[in-house]
Amino acid sequence: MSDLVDLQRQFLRALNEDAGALDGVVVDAARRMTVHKTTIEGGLLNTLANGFPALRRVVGGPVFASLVSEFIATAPPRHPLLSTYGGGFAAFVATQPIAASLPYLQDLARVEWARQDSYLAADAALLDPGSLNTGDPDSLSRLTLRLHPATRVITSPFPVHTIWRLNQADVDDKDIPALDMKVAEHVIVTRPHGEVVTRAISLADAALVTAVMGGASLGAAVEGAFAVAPDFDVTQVLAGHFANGTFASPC
Amino acid sequence: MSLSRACGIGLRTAHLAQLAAEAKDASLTAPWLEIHTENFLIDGGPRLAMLNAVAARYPISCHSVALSLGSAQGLDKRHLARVADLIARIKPAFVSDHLSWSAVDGIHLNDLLPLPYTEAALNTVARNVLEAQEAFDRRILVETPSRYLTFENADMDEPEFFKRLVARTGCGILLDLNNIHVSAFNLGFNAEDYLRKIPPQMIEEIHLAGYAPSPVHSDLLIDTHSRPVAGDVWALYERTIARIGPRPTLIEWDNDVPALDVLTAEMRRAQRVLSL
Repeated sequence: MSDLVDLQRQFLRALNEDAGALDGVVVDAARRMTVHKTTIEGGLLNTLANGFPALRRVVGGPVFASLVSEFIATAPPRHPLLSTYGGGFAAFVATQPIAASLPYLQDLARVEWARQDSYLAADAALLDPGSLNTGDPDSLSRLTLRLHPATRVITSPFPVHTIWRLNQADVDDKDIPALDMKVAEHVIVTRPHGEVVTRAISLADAALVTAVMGGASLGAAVEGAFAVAPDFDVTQVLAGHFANGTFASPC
Repeated sequence: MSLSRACGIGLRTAHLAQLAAEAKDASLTAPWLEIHTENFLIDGGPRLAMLNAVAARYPISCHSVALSLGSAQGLDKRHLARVADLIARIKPAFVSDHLSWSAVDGIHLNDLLPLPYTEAALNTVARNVLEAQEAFDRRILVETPSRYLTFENADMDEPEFFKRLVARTGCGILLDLNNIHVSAFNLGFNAEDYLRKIPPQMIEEIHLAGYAPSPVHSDLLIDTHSRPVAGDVWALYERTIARIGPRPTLIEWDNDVPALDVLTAEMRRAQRVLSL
């Protein structure tokens, strides 16, 4: 067995830093190994291109490919499921030189990863807003809501929702307006009826959902939202959440 | 229901919604469907719901790509448990993976990497196949790989390795005729000689797919699964079925996936061979 472990480690080295690692073990090693190297790198590039299409559109195909190549070298897949590969891509992108000129890239990657994560998350029945209508404001305020397993929230100092939306495949470049980079946008990703929905929400709204996520009562979460924005419109915000499946029905 | 004279198609995500929507209809698009098991090891969501709709109507084959049956360090127990869970829910007609490896020291390489055909490798694969069969509580099929290289040292050829693996584990062989054609071209052996060395009763499923010439190396074919089945692979298929009798056959098209009716046309061609 140890011989085979050694051979498999030599393979790994031959695919990465040391092209000569299989000389004398594999016939015509350097040339033949390029087939496997191409398959592996192409497969991972394809996986991340499918997961981060807007980011790819922002930086362009060649720059995206070199980012991915660097990412693979830094953080190769450590899980048998390719669908889990890319969770660290946002944090990685933030460390790259390109992040200096495109500072929102990390948050754009977070939005795209959240969408992928949401799509594959567990199922749960949506909260029926009618069930909250008990007529007793105190019990409503003490209520702890359960977030749907497919709900994700991303806060950002950049207009990340607009950037994400304008970099969809079906948007024509000529329709892209000038962006005010000083506008902060926050995003909620939900999956109400089998489709992933991506919406911009206010910072106060993001605070509310994050508080619920942390186990706060609805009353405390709403109070926290008012602390962020005194003009917080609780009725309208909750209606948005009920319509888009932010919360799950109680267990 | 016997699938021995039935050709199925590989179920790809591009066709999942269409097949799930049509699953209610009386007529099935294909006699059976094969999934890539790893695409459905997910907690929930629309993809899993569509699989459930399809599996309620069609016999399913669960074809894994990431068990890594050739890993010297053994199988990934958590992955094995997740595959076992899907198998318990879907109750597939077949369960399979490849004679290859893809993980070492916790790093997963998304490719079906070759094994040297040595006694040590046979011990490893046999141990892993037995562990998978134990976890799944059923026999599995092991697929003949596409090969691009040979090792300096080998104790036996690939048919011998398969025969001894079957004898030691009771697994079956998933014969991929495209892979055998590609390997024969790349490594310089005769595909017919190879096929004659495999006892027919060990062969339980056949895969047909398309290959492409390497864009870089003129002496290599690549198992791209991105094209129609090639003429020489159809010829190999016709001769194999004539010799061993009908077997459940699958049209496998994984990349640059065309419209469903392109796949069903390929399927009908294989069906004609099976019905002779």
